[in-house]
Amino acid sequence: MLSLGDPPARRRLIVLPAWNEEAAIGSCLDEILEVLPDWDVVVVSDGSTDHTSIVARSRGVAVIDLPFNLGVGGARRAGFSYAVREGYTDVLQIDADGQHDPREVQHLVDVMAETGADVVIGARFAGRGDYAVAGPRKWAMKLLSAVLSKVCGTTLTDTTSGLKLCGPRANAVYARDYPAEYLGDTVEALVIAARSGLVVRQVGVAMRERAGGVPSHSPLKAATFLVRAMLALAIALTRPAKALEQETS
Amino acid sequence: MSYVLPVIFVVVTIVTMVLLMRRRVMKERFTVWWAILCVGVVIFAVFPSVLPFVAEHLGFQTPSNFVFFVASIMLVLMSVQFSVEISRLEEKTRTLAEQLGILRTQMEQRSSVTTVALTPETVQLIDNAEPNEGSE
Repeated sequence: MLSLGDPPARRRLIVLPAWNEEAAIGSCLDEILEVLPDWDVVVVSDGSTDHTSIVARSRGVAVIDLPFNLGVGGARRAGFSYAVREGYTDVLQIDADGQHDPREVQHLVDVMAETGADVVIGARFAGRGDYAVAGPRKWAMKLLSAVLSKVCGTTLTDTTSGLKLCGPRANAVYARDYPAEYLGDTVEALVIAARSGLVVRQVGVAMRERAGGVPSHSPLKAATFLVRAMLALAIALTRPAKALEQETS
Repeated sequence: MSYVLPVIFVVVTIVTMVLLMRRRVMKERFTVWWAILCVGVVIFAVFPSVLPFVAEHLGFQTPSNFVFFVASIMLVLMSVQFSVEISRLEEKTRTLAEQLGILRTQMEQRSSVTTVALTPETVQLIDNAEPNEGSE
């Protein structure tokens, strides 16, 4: 671990997966570039069929154009792969919908420096901010939190958060093995972290309302979420260590 | 003479498999199932008394039930094999797409080459620029 005294040795990258986000990505990038000038930014345009790529390029940031839609997991793995190839030490995952406030990123950086963690999660329900969900979705998230806290050996309250800071060891692991399935990119990614011996920590962050789109509260969708989350968790936890090694070889 | 039809079936199947493999449109590992099927059909056709004997000793009330059972098991196993193969291919395609995107970005950064951003308009241009010649 590098000490706080030599920040120039660290190369920092923000990975912004975006799928048809032409409406939100411009202002999102402007804010990031203004608040976090020390970070490089790469937008992973996940098979966008609108002007996401052009808008991102107009802000002067690197853009990875994926030839077709891979899902958020694929876009994130591409981001990790790019970071490792380009020699970045810190990779920040952030959502392009404006839900994450770039001003909160410093909290994640501080926690990583203090604890020497490999993965720091920006959690929505850790005391700060007023983000809330209710009903079955909440139970599902609580259950996920309880199990994953145990697996990772630390208290986690928001396991499906898209705001994450990863250090060099985590980048190397995720560049090879980052699940692409629904919920795999959050739930299974944490299991992979724990099994690879990475240190996971969380820090509470304030979230904003999403710039576009309304989070769904339909009970049916919540129930589906619960079942899929449990399935993803069960599969991830019972995956043989051999399969992990084979995939990474 | 009762086994003429099965033998024709076997011959047609084997010839089809060999032709498909010769044209390289099918890999050997997918022909294993059909080979097993052919062996079974030949045995039961040449020795007609074997089928009722085996079926009875395995607890099937009629020989045809036994045949249907074995056939459905084989079909299930084949679809499992296909699912596995498709998943593998999907994973490979995904990795290729990621690496392709990264390579293009790195190429742009390191040289004066600029590639075109993917937008609805440019995708249409690219599609029109390359008439589909490869197929047939």
